[in-house]
Amino acid sequence: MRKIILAMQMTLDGFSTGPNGEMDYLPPFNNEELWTDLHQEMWNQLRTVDTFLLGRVTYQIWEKYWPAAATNPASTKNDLEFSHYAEDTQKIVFSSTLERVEWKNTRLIKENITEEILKLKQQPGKNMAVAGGAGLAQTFMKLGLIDEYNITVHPVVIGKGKPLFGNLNDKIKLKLLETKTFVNGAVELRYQPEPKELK
Amino acid sequence: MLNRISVDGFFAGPNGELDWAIPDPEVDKAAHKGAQADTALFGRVTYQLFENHWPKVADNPVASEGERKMADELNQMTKVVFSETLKEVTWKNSRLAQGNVAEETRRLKQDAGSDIIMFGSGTIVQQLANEGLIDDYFLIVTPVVLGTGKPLFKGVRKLDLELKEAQSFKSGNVLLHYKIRK
Repeated sequence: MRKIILAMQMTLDGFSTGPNGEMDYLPPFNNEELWTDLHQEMWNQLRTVDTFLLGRVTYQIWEKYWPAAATNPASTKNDLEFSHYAEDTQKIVFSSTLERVEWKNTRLIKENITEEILKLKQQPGKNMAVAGGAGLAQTFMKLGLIDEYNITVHPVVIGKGKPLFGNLNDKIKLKLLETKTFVNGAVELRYQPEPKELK
Repeated sequence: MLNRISVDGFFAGPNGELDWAIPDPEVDKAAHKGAQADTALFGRVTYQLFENHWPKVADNPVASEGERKMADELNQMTKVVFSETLKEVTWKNSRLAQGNVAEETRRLKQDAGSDIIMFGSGTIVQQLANEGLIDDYFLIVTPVVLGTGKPLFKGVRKLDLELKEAQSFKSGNVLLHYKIRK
């Protein structure tokens, strides 16, 4: 069955972004040396994924940025590659407020998330990745829909921002699958949730 | 400093619970190897937790060898306890320090001797981290998301760290060692 993978970046103090969505805790984008292995890992993972699951804000950012990157002469090689990939890959946006989505290969789900996700999981296909934002990630965690956590922790404390995990009512016990380290000092932690104990 | 931390960055549950930690002599040994010290700093809460548990472990025939060794070391270490409210500390080789945590720590760092280790956290970590007085962070990432609790880095404004080592263990714990970038 298809898996739902949470694949996100995080600071050491648990933030997914700064308070206004900033991701400047990541290495500078023009520093190829610090990005080569991070990008390589991203592409390795994307081989097992055929669908992006996105919250509204992330979708709007992507929709604005990626198609434009395809035709921007200043785009990095990785950005060019990803812009085509993003365009061609199935995207599912979860939002109760958006009326419609216009980007190619994009579908909007406004309600009944669990039902829709379970339907999708039964269909043949590769894994689906929750790529952002923290809000959607938390919704999926609370619904118990995440099959694998793939968190890349960057070697920085930023003090304030949007927590990746937020307030959850229940602990999530995890089983460590793998760790990887990167040139910039980031550490990728891969976990799968332990099956919930019967109460 | 050496601390266990959940994946979502808490060093304790909301009421100070530590029962989510995965006991793991292997990771403790590895952390210990990296974090050798002859002096330990404590805030009141962690000091009281430790003082309640460790002194008697050294003489406890049922305790494991590892535990007794740790207890011996803790007994021997110079323990400096920062507290405005404690009147006295009775654990062997401890003393109370009042007043400015950062200043006192700077003084201790200048004294000859090996390194200083901090257990526990709370406001001491924040104060010292913000002043750049913590040189090494040893974090044992426990394979659990707590969902709520006391954030290890609460009140810490910004730190740029250099990863020195990441080691994973059969228990699922991951030891991360960072140094501050000067």
